[in-house]
Amino acid sequence: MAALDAIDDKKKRHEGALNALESFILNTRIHLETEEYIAAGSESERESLNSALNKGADWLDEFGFTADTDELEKQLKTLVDGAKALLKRVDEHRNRPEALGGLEKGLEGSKKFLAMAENQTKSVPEDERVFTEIEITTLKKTIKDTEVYFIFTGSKHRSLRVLF
Amino acid sequence: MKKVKEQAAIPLSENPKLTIKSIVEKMATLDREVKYLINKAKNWRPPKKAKEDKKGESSLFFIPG
Repeated sequence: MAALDAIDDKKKRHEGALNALESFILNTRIHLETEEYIAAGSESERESLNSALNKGADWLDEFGFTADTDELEKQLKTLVDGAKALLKRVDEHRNRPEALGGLEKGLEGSKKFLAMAENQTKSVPEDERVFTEIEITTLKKTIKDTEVYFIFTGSKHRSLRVLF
Repeated sequence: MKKVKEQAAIPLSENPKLTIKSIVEKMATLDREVKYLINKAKNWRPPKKAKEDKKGESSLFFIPG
């Protein structure tokens, strides 16, 4: 029984590797046609990735069913490594608007909090102040830094949403 | 700030200088700062005076978010 299980496992792993390679080639080819990927990769980068995928597909046709699991996995890894930079960039562009949106919300909340903190500081005698001057100044500075960072990125990067 | 300005100018097909990681880090710095102060406000009690203050003082701040 154990021997049969082992054979079964081996078969499954082989099938898994074959499927993974096939679907990576297929999906990446489809993705490469999308606006998102076209924008995120230079023409030469996309061409070289495409030709690597074509090569991979040819290899798969010829050796796919006879290749052992290790070979299949190696093929996939080579293709994934070659596509990594582009995939990363797509991911960055895709998630940037949301990250900046989160930062914007965080800024709003912090500013409200700062206003209340300053208000409390002004309205009570010194020994009843919750925050020290340094704490208020530090928060102000952090907000300012973040704001400058945000303003420089904001308008430009939010417009990317239109593209995607 | 230089990085940020540069990012606005570089095409999408080049690796971003303004990374998600850097945005998240900025957010975390701000968040840490505010949380620290909120926590301080929560645990803060007015100094005892000669005459008794009102007991059970309510929270001084509306906590955002």
